[in-house]
Amino acid sequence: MSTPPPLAGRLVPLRTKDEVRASLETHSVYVVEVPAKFANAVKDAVQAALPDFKTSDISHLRRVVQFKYLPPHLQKLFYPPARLPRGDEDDPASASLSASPASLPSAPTPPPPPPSSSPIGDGSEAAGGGTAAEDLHLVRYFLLCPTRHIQQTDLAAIIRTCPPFDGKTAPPRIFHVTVPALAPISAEQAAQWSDQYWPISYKNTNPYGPHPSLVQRNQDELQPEAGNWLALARAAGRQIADQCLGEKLGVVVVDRTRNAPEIIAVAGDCRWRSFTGTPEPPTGTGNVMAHAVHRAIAMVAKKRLRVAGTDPAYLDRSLFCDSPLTEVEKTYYDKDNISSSGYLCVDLDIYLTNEPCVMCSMAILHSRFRRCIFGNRMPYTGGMTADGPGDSSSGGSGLKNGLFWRPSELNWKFLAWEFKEEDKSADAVTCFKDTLHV
Amino acid sequence: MIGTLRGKESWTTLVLASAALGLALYYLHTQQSATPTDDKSPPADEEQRQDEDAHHISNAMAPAERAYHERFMREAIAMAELALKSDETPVGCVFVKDGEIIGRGMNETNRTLNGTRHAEFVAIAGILSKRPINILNETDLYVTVEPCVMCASMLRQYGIRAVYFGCWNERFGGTGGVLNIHSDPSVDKPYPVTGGIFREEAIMLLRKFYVQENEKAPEPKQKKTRELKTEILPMDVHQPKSTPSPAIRMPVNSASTGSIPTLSSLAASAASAVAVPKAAIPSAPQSRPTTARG
Ligand SMILES: [Zn+2]
Ligand SMILES: [Zn+2]
Repeated sequence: MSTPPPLAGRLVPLRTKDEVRASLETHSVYVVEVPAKFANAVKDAVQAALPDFKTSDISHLRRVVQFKYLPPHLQKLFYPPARLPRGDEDDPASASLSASPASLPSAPTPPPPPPSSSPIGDGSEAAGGGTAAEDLHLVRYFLLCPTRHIQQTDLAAIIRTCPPFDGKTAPPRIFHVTVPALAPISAEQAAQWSDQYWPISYKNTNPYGPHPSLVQRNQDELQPEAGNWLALARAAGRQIADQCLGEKLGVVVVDRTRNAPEIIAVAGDCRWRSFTGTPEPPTGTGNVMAHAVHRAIAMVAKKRLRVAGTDPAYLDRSLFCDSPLTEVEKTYYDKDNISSSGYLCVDLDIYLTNEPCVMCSMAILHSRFRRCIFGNRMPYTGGMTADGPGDSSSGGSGLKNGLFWRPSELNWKFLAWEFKEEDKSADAVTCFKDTLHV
Repeated sequence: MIGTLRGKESWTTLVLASAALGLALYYLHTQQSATPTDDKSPPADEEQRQDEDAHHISNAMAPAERAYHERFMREAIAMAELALKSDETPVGCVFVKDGEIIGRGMNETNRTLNGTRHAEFVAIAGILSKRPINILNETDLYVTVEPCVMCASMLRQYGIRAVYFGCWNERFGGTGGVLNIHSDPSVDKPYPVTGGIFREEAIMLLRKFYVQENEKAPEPKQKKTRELKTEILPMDVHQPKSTPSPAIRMPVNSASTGSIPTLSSLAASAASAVAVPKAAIPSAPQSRPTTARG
């Protein structure tokens, strides 16, 4: 048979459920303005008072930050920095502007007008006009802990036991700052958050999904040919729909472990095929077990049985619809191109015209597929995506199961992409009902 | 398709025998990290769960109702026994409409080399070859192990009326064990689930299976067979990770029926009688996708 022309488009990696959560979840932390020299003392005092607080929970956030590295909105909020004693006369920088700890400034000079709003909780708006620039370098903004761990008044009391706040000096300036609750998943996200929330420390890992470099490497491999297999999947759906046996949905299973890609199975949806093989009126759910994914998986299994010398019809049942029914399905089913030593669908990739339903997403997982690529999202029934419709938007509808990558709950995980078609042909814009399960 | 089922009396005996073995295994396994002197009682959390379950059943289910469900769960267990004899992971099910069994199924993943041939699929393929799809709207499922995410979604799409199961599946349970596919927001009608009916018996069958497999082929086994047969591990089937809404979950437990010995009574009697090497219980294979190493 002739190969259909490839679809033009690009692969976009799906976000995992944890990645979506990580990108949305923020909480409030305390930040205190403290001379660099005393940061450790304050840290120890706070740490001692909060045995339940684990610093690993905020290890993605920089703890001690200079004014100039703060994001713009915090610079505006914190300005002007307090004139704080450093207790460090030996330091020429401080000596020039700071009194000794023994003679703390009791009457700060009036501050220059702040850019806009005043800092909150501030009793010591200090810093003379001429020294403000230097002050910026002296104080640090020290991130203490999430606000849920302690009341601000209690925290202030603890800090006041530490130098330099233990004297008669003005109370510490304590701020509430909103920060990402979880670690970033990429350098890009870390940079964006550093600008938007608070300076981020990115450890070049992704605790919430596959490492970006891994995704990129696989994407580079699949991108040049994904359009071919998706076009073939679409042809499979069209052929089965022409026979009125199913919806215009199709699946292609590809072995990419050898030099040249090998098509192992092609299957269309078969939900409207009756037990005897005749088309049924398309009402209700139809035969759920005959979704294209299940048929393709069954064909892979039957090919394995066949090369192993077992009758592929062993334990077969008509309702599974797992024999080839169209020209394109037969073409690839008949090829003995599967290894007999393989296990389920390990090392195989699956291409789908549409995002698979929860049942089929889990069937893909049970079958240990290597990678999954689908054309159109199914925002009301799809089981792969973890976010709402539209790639990066938060919220929206969608089941948000993200079944492809939930390693802490399910015993297999794989990479998954959606294929954003450049120029949707009339054929591609097959409008399915929202409630259709692929 | 289902072969000859044992009579009730011998069936019970067999269950008792396997219960003793299974519980011994379970007991030894769970006690590995516990104190050696504490050998007269099961783990504390286990005890507590049973109490809770027993409490629930007395409130939620009248004896006649309980007997009704247990009758069908016994049939599901019989199917799981059959799977065990066929070298399949022992999971069995029956579908019941108007008090009558209209379909039976057991796991067939090993023999078909198809990881999706779960008992529920096999049974429905039989039912729908004789009856229309919408009959499932008036049909209940009894299955020895909680439906997986895949089957839970399939059942919801078909519009199953209710699901009753034995033990939870913490590896990929779809009705409370891991996810709540039966009740999550969806375009399909949710269905109620009831877990814990003859829970120990379901677990024991799984344990028996691992012992049987280990005895048959101590070492090196074909990779595909070994992996297929460990898709549900004994330690995965105890209790749900997430708890569905109380409105739809009415846990029941055979510990309160009196017909089957309780976990604690059997564990106490069996633990000293059966010596099982540690190696008889396979440890969970750490599955890694190929993408992670490539
Ligand atoms: Zn599907
Ligand atoms: Zn299942």
